[in-house]
Amino acid sequence: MTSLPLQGVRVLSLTTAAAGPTVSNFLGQYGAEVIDLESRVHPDTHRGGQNQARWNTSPTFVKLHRNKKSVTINMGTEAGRQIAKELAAISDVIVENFTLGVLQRWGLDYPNVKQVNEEIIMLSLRGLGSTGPRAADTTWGPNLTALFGMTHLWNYVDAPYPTAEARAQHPDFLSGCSGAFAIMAALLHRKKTGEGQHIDGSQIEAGASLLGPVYLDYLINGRVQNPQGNQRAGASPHDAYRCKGEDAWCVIVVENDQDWARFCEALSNVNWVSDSRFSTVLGRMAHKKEIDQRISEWTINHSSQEVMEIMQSHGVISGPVQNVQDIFESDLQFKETGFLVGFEEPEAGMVVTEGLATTLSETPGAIFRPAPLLGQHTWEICHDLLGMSVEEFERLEKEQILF
Amino acid sequence: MKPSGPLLGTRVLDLSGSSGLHCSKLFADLGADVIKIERPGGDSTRNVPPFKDDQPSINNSLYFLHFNANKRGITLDLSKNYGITLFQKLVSTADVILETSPPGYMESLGIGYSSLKEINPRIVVTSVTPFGHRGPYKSFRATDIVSFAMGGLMALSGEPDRPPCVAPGEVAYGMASAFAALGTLVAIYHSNLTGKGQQVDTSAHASSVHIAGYAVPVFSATGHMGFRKTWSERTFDINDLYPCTDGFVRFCVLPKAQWDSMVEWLGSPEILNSPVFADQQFRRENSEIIDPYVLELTESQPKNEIYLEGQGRHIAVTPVNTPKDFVESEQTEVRGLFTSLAHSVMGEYKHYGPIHKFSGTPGSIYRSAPLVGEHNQEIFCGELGLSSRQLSVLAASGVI
Repeated sequence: MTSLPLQGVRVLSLTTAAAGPTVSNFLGQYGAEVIDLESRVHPDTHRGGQNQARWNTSPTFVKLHRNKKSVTINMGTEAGRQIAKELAAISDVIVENFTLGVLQRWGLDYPNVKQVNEEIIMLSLRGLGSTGPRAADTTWGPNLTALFGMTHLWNYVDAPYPTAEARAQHPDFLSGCSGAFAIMAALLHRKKTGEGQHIDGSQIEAGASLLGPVYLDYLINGRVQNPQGNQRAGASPHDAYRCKGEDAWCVIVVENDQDWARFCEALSNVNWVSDSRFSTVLGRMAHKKEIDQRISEWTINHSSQEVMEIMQSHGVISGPVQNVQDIFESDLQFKETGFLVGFEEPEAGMVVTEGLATTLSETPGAIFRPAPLLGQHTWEICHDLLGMSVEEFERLEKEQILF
Repeated sequence: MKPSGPLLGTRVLDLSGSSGLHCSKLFADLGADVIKIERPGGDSTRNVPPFKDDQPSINNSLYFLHFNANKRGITLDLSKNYGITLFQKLVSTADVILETSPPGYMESLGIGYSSLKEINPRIVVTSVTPFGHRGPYKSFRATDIVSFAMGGLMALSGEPDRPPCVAPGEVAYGMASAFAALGTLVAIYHSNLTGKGQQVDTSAHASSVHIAGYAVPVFSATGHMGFRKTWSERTFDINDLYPCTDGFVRFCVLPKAQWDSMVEWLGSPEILNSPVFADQQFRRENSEIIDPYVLELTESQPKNEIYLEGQGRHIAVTPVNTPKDFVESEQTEVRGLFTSLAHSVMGEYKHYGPIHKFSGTPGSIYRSAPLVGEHNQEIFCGELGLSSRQLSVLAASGVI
């Protein structure tokens, strides 16, 4: 299938939680064969841990694991670790994000795997990287955003507590995507030279990269930035305004005087917009409170969708603050482009996940298979890839090695 | 210092504005030859604050500085015929063109994908736009806050009775850039096999949904939706904040082993020892029983002591840092996240990146961001063979 350009690339995913699985998820969407190494001894957090009822029914697991295959191996056994090593020997890429030291304990760290697979490319994507005094820290995404200053900055100008940050926010997805990018770079290098390598990735460094200008403000100007809410220097108005309906808001952005002229045109039946105090950026910044109040008096009479349509039809930057229901029901762009991908999972029922945000014209990639049941592909992988006999397989199952 | 990294030998022509800056930075930090093409006089992203010493000027933007290290900079007016001619010459030497103009704009200049592939069939043309190149919103305008608002995360950010609050750091643009970078390398991989390039069309709107946690799959399966919470509504769940003597710490206590360790740290109060608290859902619903014990622990200690003690107990707890705390942290220092560089306007300073450490082909930060047109001579004369005289004529006529 030419739509899946990474066909023939095998990825062994030794991953847990979100950052590692996101890397292999994005490679799988372009056709890489992703083998998720799992076990019934330590089921993934997103499978609900030891709660067996959730193993194959968790929608969050589905988001991270469609297209993949699942093999269950008890890594607490020598025989299990040997099978995992055989898989490592025939893989192109390994992605891992376990606590520092786990792979070494299993004999699957880079130096060990390299002995059986010279060209292997391995990405380790820990919270704070694989070196340094905090490499072994236990962290989830929200711990990391606290560490790199995002939690501090994500707030209203006058807020007493650092609590505006969305409780669903974490850098796993961004670091997962740039991690997949790093693996592609290593694959391209290997195509040219035959050389594999280890990549030490860090979720915090990938996420914090977006705050580079803030760090430079400290390093060069000595300024420690504080939250700026929805304000951005030079743009006014620049905020979310309350609209008709429950918790309905629409963002309006006026970046310059040309935008302001368009905005005035959109509100041509409202007389305050012609107030000369508002005709320049400086004037609008100086009277921000008054302008925001007057805009809200107008937006409150329209739905957020209407505000966007009126603004956009006059070339003004605008869009509704959408909750997830709006994303499913009101967003015409998602509807028409078929962005959301839903299909029936064997045990979880209908689950919808985000489709690809990038369209490649020749090789678009696809979400083509449900998330695997725990251990669904153990036989297929042991037999087809490792040449295991039925007898051997049954014995290893019985001994809870393939478990 | 010289470029290094796995993408050495890959050339990117970078026409991008804010939404693509992180994309071309990912390339530049891994050794790609990124040629930033600005309009004569300089790109508009040079006007984005903060500025060195708060003095706005064309080579003073710290925003521009962060995203454009390692890139070479030339100026070229693509609305002029000879500007297009020079651009086409560069296209024949390039692997990737990255652009963020409104859909149809490149075509209107005569440099749409169909024309560019005539010049270079292997070329990958990557676009990052607010809504992508198709669909009913494709001509709508948006900036980062709009993409972020429409992606679902903003509705969960801030206090319930106040306007939803945008994230710092243009995260919708950041995610779109990362998707564009990944798609571009996948396209190069394909073109290496087939000799055929393609278009890579990234939507910031769609990218933004990807960072909104698990809202989409959870809503589709259960109908459950998140909402904004006030400061006092804690759930002892995944990211609640607790005050300390000098700020806040964030706990994310999920697995049972961590909870057990937490109870021990709290002095094993009888009520928390009850097995019902082993269940995460139960803890979430009964945070008001847990909170007083946690507050008693945190309110008497500084955030870094709680951090070190908690991590020693394998509990996921971290301090709420300022940007300064992060820059100066020992971990950042030891990993060499900031590299010393010199810039003719900024002087000596420290620059961020690269974000991945490759054992065989490490990337590096080897050159600061270009001044306006800094590499015009090097590229137009050195590579395209123009004479110095021709170059001054082009400058005088506003082509470069």
